[in-house]
Amino acid sequence: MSTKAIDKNKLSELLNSLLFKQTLIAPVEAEEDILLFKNVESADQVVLDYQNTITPVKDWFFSQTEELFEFKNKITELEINDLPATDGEYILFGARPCDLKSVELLDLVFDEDGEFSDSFYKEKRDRTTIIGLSCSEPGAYCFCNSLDGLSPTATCNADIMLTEMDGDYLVEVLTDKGEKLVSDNSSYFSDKYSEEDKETRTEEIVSNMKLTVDVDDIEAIMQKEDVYLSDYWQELSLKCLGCAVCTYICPTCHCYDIRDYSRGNAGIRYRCWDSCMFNDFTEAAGDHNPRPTRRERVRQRFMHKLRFFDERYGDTGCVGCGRCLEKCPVNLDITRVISDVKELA
Amino acid sequence: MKRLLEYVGFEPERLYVKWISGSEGQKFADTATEITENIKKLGPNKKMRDAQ
Amino acid sequence: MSKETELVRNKAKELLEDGDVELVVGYEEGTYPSRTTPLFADTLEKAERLIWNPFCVNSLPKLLSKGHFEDKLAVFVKGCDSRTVIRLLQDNQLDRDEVIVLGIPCNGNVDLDKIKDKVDITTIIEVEVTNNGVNVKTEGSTEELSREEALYDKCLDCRFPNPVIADEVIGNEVSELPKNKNKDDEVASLANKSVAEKNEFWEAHFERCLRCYACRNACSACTCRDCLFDRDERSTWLAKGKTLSDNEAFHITRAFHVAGRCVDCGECERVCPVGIPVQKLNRKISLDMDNLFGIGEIATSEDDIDNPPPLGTFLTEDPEEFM
Repeated sequence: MSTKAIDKNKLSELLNSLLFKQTLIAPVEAEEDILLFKNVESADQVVLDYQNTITPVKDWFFSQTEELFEFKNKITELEINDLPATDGEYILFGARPCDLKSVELLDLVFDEDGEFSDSFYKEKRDRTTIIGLSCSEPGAYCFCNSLDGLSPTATCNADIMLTEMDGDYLVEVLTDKGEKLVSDNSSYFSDKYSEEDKETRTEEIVSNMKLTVDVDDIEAIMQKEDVYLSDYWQELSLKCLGCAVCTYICPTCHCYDIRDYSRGNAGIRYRCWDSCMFNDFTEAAGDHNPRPTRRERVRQRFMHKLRFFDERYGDTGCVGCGRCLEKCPVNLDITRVISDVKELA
Repeated sequence: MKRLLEYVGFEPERLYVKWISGSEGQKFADTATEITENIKKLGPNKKMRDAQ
Repeated sequence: MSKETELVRNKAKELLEDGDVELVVGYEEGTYPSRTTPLFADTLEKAERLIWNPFCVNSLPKLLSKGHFEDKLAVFVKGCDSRTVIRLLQDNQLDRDEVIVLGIPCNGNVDLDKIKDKVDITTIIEVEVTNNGVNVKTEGSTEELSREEALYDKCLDCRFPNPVIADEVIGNEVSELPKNKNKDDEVASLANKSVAEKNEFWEAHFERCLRCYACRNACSACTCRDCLFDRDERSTWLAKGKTLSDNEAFHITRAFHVAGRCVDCGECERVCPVGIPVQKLNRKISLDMDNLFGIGEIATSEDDIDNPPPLGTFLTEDPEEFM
C-alpha cells in the first residue's frame, strides 16, 4: 500500500508507546542463545538481530496447550461453560518471512474465514496486528528463497513489514490493520524509501543465502507410488530417534490432541500439540496402528509437508525456516530428503 | 527421591518415608503428628500446583 | 580426507568385504561438512561416504537398540558412546555376539552453536581438537579457539575419552584430557542453594520444556518400548498438556527412572532444543546413588555388565534411611 521509513531509535520508542494500549509479543532471549516469542514488558527486551526463534510464531496463534471449555457433571445433566473469551488487542512484532508464510498456511488449515473456522485461532488472529521483520543475515540452515513466493524479505501476510537498511528500517504498510497502526502513530514514520529500494536490498540479502534446494515438481514426484513404497523411507527411519523436536518447532505442523484435566466431577477440556512422530499418534482401539513403525511415521511427515498439504491447500507445507534440520539430534535434513527423493523418481 | 525433590526446589520437610509396623501404633501416631505440625509450619505447597 | 576418515572407511570396507558384518553404522556428512548424520552402510559404495571428525557427536549405539536389526553389524563408538554400549548390553537391548564395537578415542566434540558467532559454520573445512585448544579451518581463515569456546559442555570434563568396551580400537589412545569444567562442583553448588533459589532455577528451565521428548529418545537408559509418558491418558497425575507442573512431573519422573543407570553421556542435554540443563538433574542422582550405595562410576568396563543397577537389586546392607 505505501512505503515509509522509521529510525532505529524511534522503533523502540514506538514499541514502548504501543505497549501502553496493546499486548506486545516479540522475540526475547529467555536463556543464553534461546530465543522465544513472549509477552514483552519493555522494548529493551526485544531482540532485533536474531536469525530464528526456537519455537515459531504458531505458538502464539495456536498455543501448545489451549483450554477449550469447562465442564461439570451434575448427575442428571452435564454443564458446559465457555471460558472467558480473549480480549484486548495484540501486536506480534518481529516475525520473520518464513513464520509469516506459515501463518498464511495455518490460516488455510484453521479455515480463518470459512464455514468451519476454528474460533480459538480466529479470535487471536483477528485481534493481532503482525509486524514482520525481514532477515538481514539469513542463518546457516535457512532455505526460504528456494520456495515459491518466499524470500528473506517476503511480506506474506504481514500487516506491516520492516526491512533493516542503513541506520533505519524500510516500512511497508500492507493492510488496513497496518495502515491504522501507522496513521495512529504517524509521528514516528517518515517518507524516504520506495519499492525499488526494497528490491535492491532484497538482492543484497539473498546473495548471502547459504542453503538452496530445488523443489520443482516435488509434489508430483511424491505422488508416485514407487516413491511412496520405496525402501528409502526405511533407510531414513533408521537414524530417526522418534522424538518430536521437528514437529514442535515446525512453523506449519498443526496436529493436536484433545484431553481433559478433571478432578472429581468437574474439569477443563483442552487441546495440546501432538506429533506424528510419536507411536501412539495413530494408535486406535484394539491396539491397531496404521503407522506401526518409524518408517511409516517418517514418511508421513515428509509426505504431509511436500505432498498432502499441497493436494489439500495448493501450497507446499514447508516454509524453509531450517529449524528442523538444525535442531534434529541426528540432522535428518529435509533439503537432503527432497534431493534424494528426486533421484528416486 | 527425597534428595531429588529437594534438589528441584521442594521443601524437604514435605516428603516423609518411614517404616512403621502394624504393631507400632504409637510410632504411627507420633509420625502423623510430626508431619502435620511441620506441614502447618510450611503452609500450603505452591510448587506444581498450576495444573488443573 | 583426514587420517581418521580413511581408517574408518578402510575398516568398514574390510568388514563388509570379508562378510564379518552386514551393516556398518557410522557417520556421513550432513547439511554441511561441519554437520554429521548417521549412516547405515550395507554396501561398499555407502562405506565410501563414511567420515570421522570432531563433529561426529550423536550416540550411534542408541540407534541400534530398537530391535530392528537381524544382521550382524559393526558400530563406531567414542568413549561416551561405549558406555552406552554397556548400558544397552546390560539392559538386553543389544546382543554382544551380534555387534562388533569399533572404538575411536576422542579429544572432544565441537559444538556448532557455540562457534557459530565466531566462524561461518557453512564454510568449515577442517577442525583439529587438542588438549590446548581447537583450530577451526574455514575457506577463508583459521580460527584458534579455546576448548571452552568450542566444545560441548559435556566434553569439557570428559573422563572417558577412550572406549571402555571395544573389539578393536582405531587410532591412538588419548591420554588424560584437561578438565576445563567441573560438573560435579556445579551440581554441589546448586544443591547448596536455598529452597527458593533452587525452585526458581528449575522452574525457569522447566517452563520452557516443549515436551518433545528428545531427551528421552536420545537417552542411553530409556529403552522402554511403551513409555509411560505416551500413556498419559491412563494417568491422573501427568497430562499431555504443557503446564509447568506437568513439565516438572515429566522431568522428575524421567530422572528417577534412569537413576543408577545413567551413563552420563550428556545426550539429553545436547539434544534439548530449549537448553534445559537436564544433565544437572541426572548427575545429581548419580552422585546420590554413589553416596547411598557406593557404586562409584558405572559402566566403565565390560565387567560392569554383570553389576545390576542399585535400584534393580536388593542387598541386605542397602541403606535404610526410612527406618
